[in-house]
Amino acid sequence: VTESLRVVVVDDHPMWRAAVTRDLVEAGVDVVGEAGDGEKAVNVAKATRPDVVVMDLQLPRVSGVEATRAIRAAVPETHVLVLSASGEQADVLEAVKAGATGYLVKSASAPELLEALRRTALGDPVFTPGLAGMVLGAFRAVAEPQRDEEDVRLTDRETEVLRLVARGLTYKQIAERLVLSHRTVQNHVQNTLRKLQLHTRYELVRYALRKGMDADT
Amino acid sequence: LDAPGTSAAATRDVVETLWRALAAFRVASLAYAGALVWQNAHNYAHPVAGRLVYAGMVVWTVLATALYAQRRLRRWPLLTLDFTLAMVAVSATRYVETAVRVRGNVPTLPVSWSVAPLLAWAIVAGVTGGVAAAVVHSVVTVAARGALPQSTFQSCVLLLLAGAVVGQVATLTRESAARLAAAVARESAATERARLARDIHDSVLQTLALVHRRGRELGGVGSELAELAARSESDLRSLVQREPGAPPTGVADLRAALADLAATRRSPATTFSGPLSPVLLPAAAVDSVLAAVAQSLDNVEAHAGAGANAWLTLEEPVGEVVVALRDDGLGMTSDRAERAAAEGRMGLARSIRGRIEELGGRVELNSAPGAGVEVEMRLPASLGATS
Repeated sequence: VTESLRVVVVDDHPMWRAAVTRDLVEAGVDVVGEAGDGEKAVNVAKATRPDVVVMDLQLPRVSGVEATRAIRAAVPETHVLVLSASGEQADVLEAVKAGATGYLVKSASAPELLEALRRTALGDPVFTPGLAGMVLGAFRAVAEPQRDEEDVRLTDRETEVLRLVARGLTYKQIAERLVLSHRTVQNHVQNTLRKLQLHTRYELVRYALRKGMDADT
Repeated sequence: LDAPGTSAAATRDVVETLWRALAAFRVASLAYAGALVWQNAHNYAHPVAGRLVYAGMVVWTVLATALYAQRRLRRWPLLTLDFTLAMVAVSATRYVETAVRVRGNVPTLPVSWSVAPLLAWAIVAGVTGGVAAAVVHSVVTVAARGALPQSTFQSCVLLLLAGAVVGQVATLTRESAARLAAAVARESAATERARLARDIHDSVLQTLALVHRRGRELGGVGSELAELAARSESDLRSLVQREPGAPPTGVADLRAALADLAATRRSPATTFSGPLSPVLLPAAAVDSVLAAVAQSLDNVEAHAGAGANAWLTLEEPVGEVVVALRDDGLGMTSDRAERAAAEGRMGLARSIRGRIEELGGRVELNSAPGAGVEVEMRLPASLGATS
């Protein structure tokens, strides 16, 4: 983990952007770009292909959710960490559905942010309890999936892991309680994220088909 | 936002169109009556009197149109005068026309012109006003003729219908205008809230988050400032994010209630986690669950030790609504929980369990030394079957 991470910081608030950038640079992170709106964020990400984009959600012009979707489509190896002050609301869940790997509240400390960045760069999902609750709720809303969408349902074990994340347990505590390895717990959380994003793609395709559009475009 | 004022203005606008329609009706009826007077005057017993009555109708139409155009004058004095003058014109038919003609099928002098004040009554006083005016109008017409020929009977029935229908329309118009105005007011309130939320997010929340973060790094007094900033941040956030518009009467959103409770609880610091959509239950059930959760939080505060954190979750597995409260405090051995329950000190045996079981649910308690306490309240989903 000593090799320096390449990060782009996206936030429309210059003071905040400067503070985060300073923290990251002090910690040895290579901040390769900054952006104050969603459109610029996508362009900077395409040009610099960073390991992680630190993304605020309420951005002028192109929203953080749309920017996340565009970045994930254009630069699949770049992960998105949402850092939002807007609270654990619909837009956070939308950003995760759009491909964000993790979410952290803005009041998180600098060490927490660094740890989250490292995990995000590896593709490990960074979940807050609030996000876990929303994801559980989102799967609950998929009441009766079609048989051919069997793999977008959560297994009992995945549901259980997500429930414990929602109840504030760390991965380590979850591993102890369920007698699993730390890695297995991480995999379960990763799978829930993958299934959520997969289901979102199904929904988008179905929506496109309903609208009579070409689903391939 | 001035919702009642907006509503009143919208209602006025819609009722205004009724008044304009009435003014047009009055003028059109005057023209019709004029044509009949012109055509029939040579058959009148007193043609000059007939023309004078018509001249009076012309003058009153001009006056009435001007007077009714002023909103504040649309009251009983004007309505009564208007109606009385119309009845005088109707009664004058008896003098102007010949005795034979008046008993037969000739129209009254004002014809439909005399219906205008009746409609004004209906607009102002609804069905009651319209029907009352129609009854008086019918009595005056029959008295003027001294007979009840078929055509007059039919007119009376039509008058009653007109009074009732226009009265009902006026009432419905007012009600739906008020409802529409209320809906518009709600929507603009929501829009305004969203705008406020954006503004606050862009400025205040960002700054508070920054103060929180930097303050905590400073330590000491800085940490206290950070804590204050964090509180203000979460207060503001829950304020701007609260959904406008209450759920239907008798039903409450358990999700919003728990989120509020967690956001305002300082000791223990409580994190809420649940689905995005509302979880609607009978309001009384939501109150019971809230009371049970609040009491559980009191227990955490009293027994979990200083600096303990709590996590409050709401989940809807199939057929159930599950509220769980976990803390990372000292925890306890299971026999201590039993002993505590037996002593009634935990309050768990009586109030918490009692409240939840009353709703057809059950309470489970898990704990181990050093691993905090986990209280799980499981309610049947059928509680919220109304949603």
